[in-house]
Amino acid sequence: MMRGMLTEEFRLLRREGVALWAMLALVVLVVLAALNGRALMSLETTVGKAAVAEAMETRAALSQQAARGVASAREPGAVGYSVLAAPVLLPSAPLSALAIGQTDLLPGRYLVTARGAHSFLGFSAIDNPLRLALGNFDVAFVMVWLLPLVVIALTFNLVSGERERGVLAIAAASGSDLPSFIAIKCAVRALTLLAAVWAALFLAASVGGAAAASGPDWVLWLVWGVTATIYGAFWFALAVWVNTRGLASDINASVMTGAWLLFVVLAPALTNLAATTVFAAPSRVALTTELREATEAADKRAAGDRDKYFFDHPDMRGQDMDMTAYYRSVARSEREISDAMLPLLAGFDTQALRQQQLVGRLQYLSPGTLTYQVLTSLAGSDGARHRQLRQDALQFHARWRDFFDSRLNASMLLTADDYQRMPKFVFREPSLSVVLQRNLAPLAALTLLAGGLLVWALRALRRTSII
Amino acid sequence: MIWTVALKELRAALRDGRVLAGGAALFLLGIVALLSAGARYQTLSGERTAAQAVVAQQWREQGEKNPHSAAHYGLYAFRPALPLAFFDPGVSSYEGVSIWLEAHKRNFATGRPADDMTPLLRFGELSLAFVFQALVPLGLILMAYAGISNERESGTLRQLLASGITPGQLFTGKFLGLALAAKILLAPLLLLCAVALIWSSGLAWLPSALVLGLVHGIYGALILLLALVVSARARSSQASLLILLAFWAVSSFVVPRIAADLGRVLHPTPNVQEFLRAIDSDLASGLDGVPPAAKIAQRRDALFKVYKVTREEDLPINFQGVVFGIQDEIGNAVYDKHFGSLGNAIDAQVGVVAAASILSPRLALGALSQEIAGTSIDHQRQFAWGAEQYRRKLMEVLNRDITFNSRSGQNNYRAGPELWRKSGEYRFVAEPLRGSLLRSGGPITVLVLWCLAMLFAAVLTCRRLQALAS
Repeated sequence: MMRGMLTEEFRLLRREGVALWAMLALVVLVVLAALNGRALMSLETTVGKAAVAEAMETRAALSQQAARGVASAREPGAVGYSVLAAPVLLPSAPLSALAIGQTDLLPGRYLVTARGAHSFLGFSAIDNPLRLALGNFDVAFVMVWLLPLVVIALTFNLVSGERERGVLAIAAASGSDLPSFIAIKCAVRALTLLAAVWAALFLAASVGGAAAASGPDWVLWLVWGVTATIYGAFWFALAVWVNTRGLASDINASVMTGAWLLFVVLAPALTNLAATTVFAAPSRVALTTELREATEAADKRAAGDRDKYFFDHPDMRGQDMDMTAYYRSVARSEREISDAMLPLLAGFDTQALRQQQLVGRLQYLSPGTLTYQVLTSLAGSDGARHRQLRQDALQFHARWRDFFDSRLNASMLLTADDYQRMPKFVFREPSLSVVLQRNLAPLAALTLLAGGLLVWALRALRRTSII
Repeated sequence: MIWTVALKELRAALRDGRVLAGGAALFLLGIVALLSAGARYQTLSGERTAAQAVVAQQWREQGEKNPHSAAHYGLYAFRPALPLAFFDPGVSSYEGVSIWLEAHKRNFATGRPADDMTPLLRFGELSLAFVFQALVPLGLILMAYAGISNERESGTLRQLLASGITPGQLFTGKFLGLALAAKILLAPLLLLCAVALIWSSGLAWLPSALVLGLVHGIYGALILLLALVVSARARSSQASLLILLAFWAVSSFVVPRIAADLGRVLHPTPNVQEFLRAIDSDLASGLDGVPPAAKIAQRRDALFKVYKVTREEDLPINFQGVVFGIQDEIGNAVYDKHFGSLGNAIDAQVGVVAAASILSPRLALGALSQEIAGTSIDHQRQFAWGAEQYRRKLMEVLNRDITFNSRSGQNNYRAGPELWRKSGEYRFVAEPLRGSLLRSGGPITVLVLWCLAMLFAAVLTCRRLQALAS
């Protein structure tokens, strides 16, 4: 009996042009979105590799010059403050092509020099602001925004359509179990869509580059897919519940579209608004004027250094300062500016963290926000890795600067070997368990929400007369 | 007859609890958007005005120094917050707010507000523009999707047409009734927006606001026409709603994102390192293949001939000032070339988005709205270019001072407050409304084409309404 109903339902679904077209469109959009994500990520990787190659080339050339005794390649101040930069890169995450998130907005690489950290922290990529404002077309977008719309198209008339066609009355008269009949109809649609979603995600992983990845990456992909599935299940549960209300098909569609608008469009926008209003970032404009004042104060002090130098070395008047003395003065200026700026820059980090914490709490108000946060977090594009990169870059910068300053202050010249001993940057990639742990609570909440709503909807289906 | 139908539609709409609830929700969202944007405008406007004054004061009071040291010290230009940004923030969250104007270098604007917002910003900003461009059309669709299909399904359409009313009168009446209902529901919000604008900036921006209102009104009418046409032609109210919702979702959210990313794929912008490397390379070799050192040597020889001397020290001017001028000439040409290419790549990307507005009139409306509100890419460019022109003039003034008020080798030359005052300061003034509208030929054309297409579809639908009724 059950098998027959299932087969019949599949047959009926096959006949529904809208349903099949909607699912096909979803698969095509997922694949296109993955290709788009991959294109962006490939570009990022290429640019990063080029920056590393260029830095290596410069370092090798300087090392050779130092071996030959070229003064500028041996002077630690000149090399650290004027010539050499160490690229600090955020490695590409395995699922980054699926959810672009903050990747195209936040810096994924810094060029660290011995100068103050403020000189590289303000880096931002060149991009089209209109594109940034319109948002990315990635798989996460298709899942969070469009998947619910496909669910709505498949389910808005699950009960009402049958009622309006008189099918429910006939089925009830013939002694059919109506709740089971509706549950099977929903299950068939859900299973078909689920199959389409997983097929699309598999294709997306293949074209997005995750197919060539390792075991842990596949675990991430699996959790990514499960998250999308639970999110889809939430919308199916909502559809069943709305269908038990006994409303007309078009009213069902309006109600579900309203829910989509609320959960997918308005709740995230309002959450962002709340977070940025309650924990507003300090003023970038004020930061600019502070930087200027710090620079001016350091310049004045440097001018004093120069005057003192020429007073102490009257024979050098009319010539340039000795290179070591000059760079010691530069190093001191950079330290002073950095000391003035870093607490201000830390203010931005603090507010960003507070904003993130508030978003972390408010995300539970909307399954759309929850899903987006989990999908981007698993893909490493929610901004957490970028914040980690910034912290790691600051620590690396301190070691890099100390490497040159210690030699500059001790009047030690660089040797060819020193170029091999320069600090190396390593990004502290969070482990798989840390990433999964971070997403456990939101994922559990999403599951609870979808499961609870489904149970409630199925109970309502049993208890309410739907004819 | 038209007004009878219109008043009936108006009454029905205003008695419908769902319509009233939708109107109230839009009002509340509009108020949230208005208050948050208003507060942000006040803060940003105050901050930037104050910072511009502080920077100008720092410049004037920098004390005595060599003009070239002052050139390296430089100035900052701050993009002012324009009043209508509270309605449509456009791309302003993704554009830097300040540009450092220094010797030899043209810098990018820095300090993007988006860098300090949460990842959820990528869902879109809740602004009044979003309310009027995305949510109000949805409300109109929900009001009108069953406008004609319902009459047909309940059998009243045939009765109405048999009672002597023409299809055109019926269609027009329904359109006017629904449009009036929407206007009444949105009137309080519109009124509050007008009051907020006048309170914050007087009457200066009122003409722009009126044009903005007119454009959004036309867009609303377009959506209403579309909804009624689909309602008349769709198989059922259900089908009408599905078609309209699909159109709304695709044109509002899917097409813009696909078009924007397609633009990037087709016309990529260079990365920063590539961009800066190309500039450095051109600065070193010279755009015309003549290295800067050769140009400096040529100018030196020419000056030696003019002044009949053989050493820089014997020139009555400071040759170093001339060198700075030559370096700036070369630099300006190089920066023009590369910033021009970058601008062309971004224009090409924007062109793809503009082409996609044929499929999504919301994109055309968005582009037009940003132009009128002064928050478009072009307005940012005007600010940046104005700042760059000021920088060039400032450098000219400083280089000339070195050249004519000191002698070659006079490294201890110092200028004072008089020179700093002479260089003035940069104040960005937004272009008048006419300029913005003249530049908006593309989006205006798309909206006009959509309006014409909808009017044509409405006329065709009216002609077939008798047949569709059965």
